[in-house]
Parts: sequence; C-alpha cells; structure tokens
Amino acid sequence: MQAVGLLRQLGYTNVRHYPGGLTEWFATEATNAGPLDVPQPRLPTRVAQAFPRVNLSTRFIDALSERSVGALFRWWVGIVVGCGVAFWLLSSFTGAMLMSQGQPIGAGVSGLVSAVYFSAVTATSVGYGDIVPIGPARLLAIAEAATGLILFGCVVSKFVSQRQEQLIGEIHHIAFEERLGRLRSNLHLIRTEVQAAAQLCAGHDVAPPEAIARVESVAMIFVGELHAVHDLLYRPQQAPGETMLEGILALLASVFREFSELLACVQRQGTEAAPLLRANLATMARLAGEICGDCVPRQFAPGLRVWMDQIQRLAGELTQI
Amino acid sequence: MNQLEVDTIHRDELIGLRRSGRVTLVDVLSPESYATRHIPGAINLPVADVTRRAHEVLPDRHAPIVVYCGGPT
Repeated sequence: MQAVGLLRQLGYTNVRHYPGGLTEWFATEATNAGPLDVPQPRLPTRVAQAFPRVNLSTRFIDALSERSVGALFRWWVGIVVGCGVAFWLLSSFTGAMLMSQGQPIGAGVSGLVSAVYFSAVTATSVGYGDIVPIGPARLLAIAEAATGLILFGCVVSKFVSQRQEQLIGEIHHIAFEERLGRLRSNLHLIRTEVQAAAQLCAGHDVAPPEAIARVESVAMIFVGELHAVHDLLYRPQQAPGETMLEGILALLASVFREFSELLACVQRQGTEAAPLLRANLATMARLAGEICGDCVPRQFAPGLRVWMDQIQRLAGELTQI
Repeated sequence: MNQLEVDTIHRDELIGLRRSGRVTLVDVLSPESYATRHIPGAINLPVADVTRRAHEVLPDRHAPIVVYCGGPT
C-alpha cells in the first residue's frame, strides 16, 4: 500500500491499512454499524456456539418469522381441511376408518362434514372422542394432532409478539421525542450560561476566577450535549423530524459562536486556560469536526447541511484559539 | 516497498475503532470515487496528493490513521 509508506515517510507514526477497502466494506454494509449507532443485539458467544447457525430448528424459526400471522393461520386451516378430506376419502375407500358411536361415518356429504369436524377436534388437541379413528387413520390423526398443535402455537405466539414489537416501537419513539426535547432545552440553558459567563468576563480587566470556573463547567456540559447531537446525526435507525433537527442545529451553531466569543474574552485577559477546559475543547472540536453535510452517513436536506457545515467551520475556529 | 511492513486492520476492529471515534479514516482514491461513495466519516486524500496535502488534512502525526482504497485487488 503506497500511501501508507508515503505517510510513514512524512513522519506519521500510527498509520494502518484496511485491505478490505470499499469492496469489503460495502459488500457487508448491512451488518456494519455506524460510528456511534446502537450495537446490534448479539447472542453471547457461548450461546451462539451451543446452537450452530445452520440447524433444523433455526431454519424452522427463520421460516416462521418470514410468514405473517394470517399466512400461518391459513396453513393451519389448510391442514385441518386437508386431513378432514383425507379421513373422508380413506373411510370411503376402505369402508370404516372413522367410527361414530360404533358406526362408520357415511360416504356422503354428512360423512365429509363429520370427517372435517373430527380433523378440527384433533388438530386443536381437544379430542371429544365422539368420533374415533381406527386402523391406519390413527397414524394420520396423531401426525395431524402434533403438526396442528405446533402450528397453532406458532400462530398464537406470533400474534402476541407482533403486538409486543409494536408497543416497543412506540415506547422507543416516545423516549426519542423526549430526548430531543431535553436536548433542545439543555442547549438553551447552556446558551444562557455562556451569556452569563460572558457578562462576568466583560466587566473586568482580568477574568475573575469564578468566570473561569463557569466557563469550565459550561464547556463540560456542552461537550455532553454535543455528543448527543453527534450521536443523533450518526444514528441510522431513528431520524428526527427535519424542523426539530434544524432547530437543534441552529441552536448549536449559535451556542458555538457565543462560546468562542467567550473563550476569546477569557484568553484576551491573559488567563491560562485550565487543563480540563483544554481537554473539553479538544473533544468539542473533534466531535463538531465530524458534523458536516458530507461526512454524516445520511443524506439530509440542503437547509440542514448548511447548518452542519457552519458548525464544522465554527469548530475549526475554536481550535485556533 | 515491503508489503510485510504495513500494519493492517480487519473490518471488525475498524468498526470498533470508528464507534469509539478515535481514528481518522483516509480514502486514498480519486475525488470522483470519493464523491460516488466512501466509508462514512472518511476524509479524501488521493495517493498523488499525499506528500503535498497530508500535513493540512492530517495535522496530528501521532493520531491513529487508517488508510483504505478500492479493495483487496
């Protein structure tokens, strides 16, 4: 890899090469996680090893999860009716396979109805016993009972889990909205605090220690909120509404502007920035440096991209202070 | 140059590093290719420009950097 060698020659000490490149990255993109998105739920390795990927039950469960409740139910009804007809045909051809009160069921329509009724009673594992199978029909009855029961169980569990998934989705949505609201009000608070610190700073020749302390603490909180915004932009699963996002980005940009003015004031008055402040500034610059229209993984509306680019630029100015 | 001297990184490790945010990803393909698609978060520095522009796009010489190109061809 030529570029790695060149960078090494230029004095870069920590350069590595990703040989998979674009091809591998995008070939497996579906399983990739973005920089800060939610880790995919994964079975612990030991559990995963105990159940190898390709086995019958896994495939069975996969096949089930692909089908809807309606489809599974139709399958179940199909089995009931199909087995009923099979019982009836067997009875008609061989004479007696299903007995009702000691008498074989008839070959006519009433016999068909009885056979389907017996089939349904068997598949639901009710087994009233008013009609009983004899001879080879017993085998079919047992097979039907087992299959019907499993399938019916699948229908029920699927029905319940669908509702649960829907509820979980709603809960996530509510939590997300709440978080956005909190993020916005926190940014407002930070802005107020920045303005208050700027006033403290402006009235003096030398920035008073309490102003420095306030700048330090507001920087710390700001980094936390900036992290949340960064997270929001890099999270592929949930997208905030455009108006909401624009409000947050605009607010963030204005906080950034006022914050750099405040910093300039603190530094102009000849006070050495505290180490904690320095560390927070570095994190701030790094996080905001990754907020721009082209570097976030998703495509946003042009209006939003402008705000993102502005935030990145302001972050660049921050590092120069 | 000797291929063996180049430290490589696997996809899984790269995903972890990206998530922690402690790595600069560098796309050394052409700007056209970069415009078409690139690993999100990567910056573009074509091989031809490395010597000339490295210091401006990668100010920290000791920061972790991962370089990639088209693929394993």
